[in-house]
Amino acid sequence: MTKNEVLTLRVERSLGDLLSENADLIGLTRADYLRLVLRAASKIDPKLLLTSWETEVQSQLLRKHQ
Amino acid sequence: MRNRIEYTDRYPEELAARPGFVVLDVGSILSATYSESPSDLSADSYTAVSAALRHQIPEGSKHLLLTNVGILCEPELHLNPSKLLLDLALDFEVLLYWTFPVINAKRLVWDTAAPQYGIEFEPTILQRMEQQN
Repeated sequence: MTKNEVLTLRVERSLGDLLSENADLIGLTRADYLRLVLRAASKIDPKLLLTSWETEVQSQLLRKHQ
Repeated sequence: MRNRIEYTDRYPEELAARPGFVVLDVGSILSATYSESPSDLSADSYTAVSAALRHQIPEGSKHLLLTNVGILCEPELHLNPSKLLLDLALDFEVLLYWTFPVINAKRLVWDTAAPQYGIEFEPTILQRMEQQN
């Protein structure tokens, strides 16, 4: 998976699906994923939850592929 | 024993400030409890989440305002958020702060384009709280 492909991944509420389909490529374990979700949920108000969630996961994905 | 969950899309500041009214930021509580050890959520996420929330409720409390509840819809947690909230409603008056769409007056969803991620109740159980201006 290239950086551009990672960038264009549609990260959404169904991140669990994304993880199960691409776990090996992405290199995220379920624990990694839950940790990201939980950390994102801690710092934002409800309206920003999804945005923050997506940003955190995208960042994590990019770090793993740089 | 209660069989009602109320919700509001306007933050009820006056209610939240009343004595005996407990405000729980669900996302923050779960994050503080489990973000360093998310595997603790794996075996029995329902019990783990319920325990984390109830641990924050002072004895004698009667009213809960739950905010930032979206984490309960996270598929990887494999929770039944409706059951979890209804179980809380057995012991407390439960008010949800929910600013996202509500479908058919019974299903709270992130957005109508992805209605599979949400929390559903019987229509007689879920009620919108009326607030005065």
